[in-house]
Amino acid sequence: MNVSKNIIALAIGLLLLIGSIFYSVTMKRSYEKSLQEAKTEVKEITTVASLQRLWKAKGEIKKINTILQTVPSSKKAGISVKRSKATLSFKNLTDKELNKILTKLAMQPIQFKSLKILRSGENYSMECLCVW
Amino acid sequence: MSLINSNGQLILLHNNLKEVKKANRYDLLLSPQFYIVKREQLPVKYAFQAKKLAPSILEDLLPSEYGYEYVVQKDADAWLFFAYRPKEIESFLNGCCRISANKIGNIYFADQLKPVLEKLPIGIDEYYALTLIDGFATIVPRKMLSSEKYAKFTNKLRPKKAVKFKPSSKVGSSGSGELSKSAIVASVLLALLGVAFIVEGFGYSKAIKQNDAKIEELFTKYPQLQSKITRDSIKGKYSKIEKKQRAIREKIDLFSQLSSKKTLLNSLELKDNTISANYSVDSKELKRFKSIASSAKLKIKQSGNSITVEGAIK
Repeated sequence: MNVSKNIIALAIGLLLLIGSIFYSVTMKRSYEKSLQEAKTEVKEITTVASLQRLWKAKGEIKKINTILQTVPSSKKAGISVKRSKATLSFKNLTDKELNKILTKLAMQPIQFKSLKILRSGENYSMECLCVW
Repeated sequence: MSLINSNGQLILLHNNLKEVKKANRYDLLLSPQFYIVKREQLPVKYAFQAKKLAPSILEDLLPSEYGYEYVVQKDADAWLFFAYRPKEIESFLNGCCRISANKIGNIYFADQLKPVLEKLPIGIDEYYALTLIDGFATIVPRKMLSSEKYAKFTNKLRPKKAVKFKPSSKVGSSGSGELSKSAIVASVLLALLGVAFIVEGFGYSKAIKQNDAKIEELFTKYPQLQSKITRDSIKGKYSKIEKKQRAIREKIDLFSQLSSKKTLLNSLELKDNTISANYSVDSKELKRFKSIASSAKLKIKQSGNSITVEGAIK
């Protein structure tokens, strides 16, 4: 075939250019896709990790025991703190004591399964089941 | 009438040419000293077909030197094959008249003057004339001719059909000749542009790897979260807990706000999906209590001064 060397040289240059444009465009698309995926994945992992860290907290027994130490023994009707569960029962609590216990418990990453508060006269009784 | 005359000054090119009138552009009428011609009958219809055959038809007449340019013209029922060497013409013009190749426009062949030559020979100088011998234009000494009249070579003798002169630097550029500088420059520029795109592509490729490395780092920190199924499962479980427990705390806080010296909390109970509380409310506080409760979208049940409020936990 009688093809000019000039045309061959230009064709090679042009092919290289087209090939490189194609490569660049493909890489750009892959990068944008990868960036989007990475963002989604990082967000998901950090969200899951923080949720898990929050609700699968360790050392809750110690924290609950600390809260219980602030309540006089005479007002503890029945206390049971196990590995991941606490059954708490109090009687003759003043409204201040009730507020204090409830606020401190609510600040802990524990799950309230049941909660019962009953007033008799000026005092309150409270029953609570928490898990973590 | 054309406003722009695209024709250059017409020169009859022959070996004894000494000088020419100065002009910006020259058209050449080649004498047979500068070309070779052959008449051939061929069963081809178009000039481009005939031109393809020109090298083989003129092969016997041409020396083995490289650099001939071919022109084919129809002549009645036959074809006229011309071959000329641009380099020879250029060097002759440069030598005799200091005319560079870029000043040469169109070329014509003396054989195109056949209709004129059939009537009168054309005088070239005082010794030579152009005439027809065996139907081909030929330069002969005037002495050999019996004619006493000679046509003068002027611009009026310009043949109708012109051929664009192809400078020797371009001869072979449509064949397999040498690479031209402009082609090399253009190719290098295209390649350089290509390299720029490749570098850009590598940049993106590197960025992709960095993204992957970030995710990999997170996976190393939380190996149990590598699987999306596991992540979805954990997220589903804890999101539900989070939502419910936040709602419980919000309601406890709200019930605490409802409670005061004039609104005494009688009872509070947390069930699976609801949390309710009963209050003894002073009649003066009823309006305020109800307003807070209804703005918090609590269900209100009233029986005298005893009000039960209930909120959903979703």
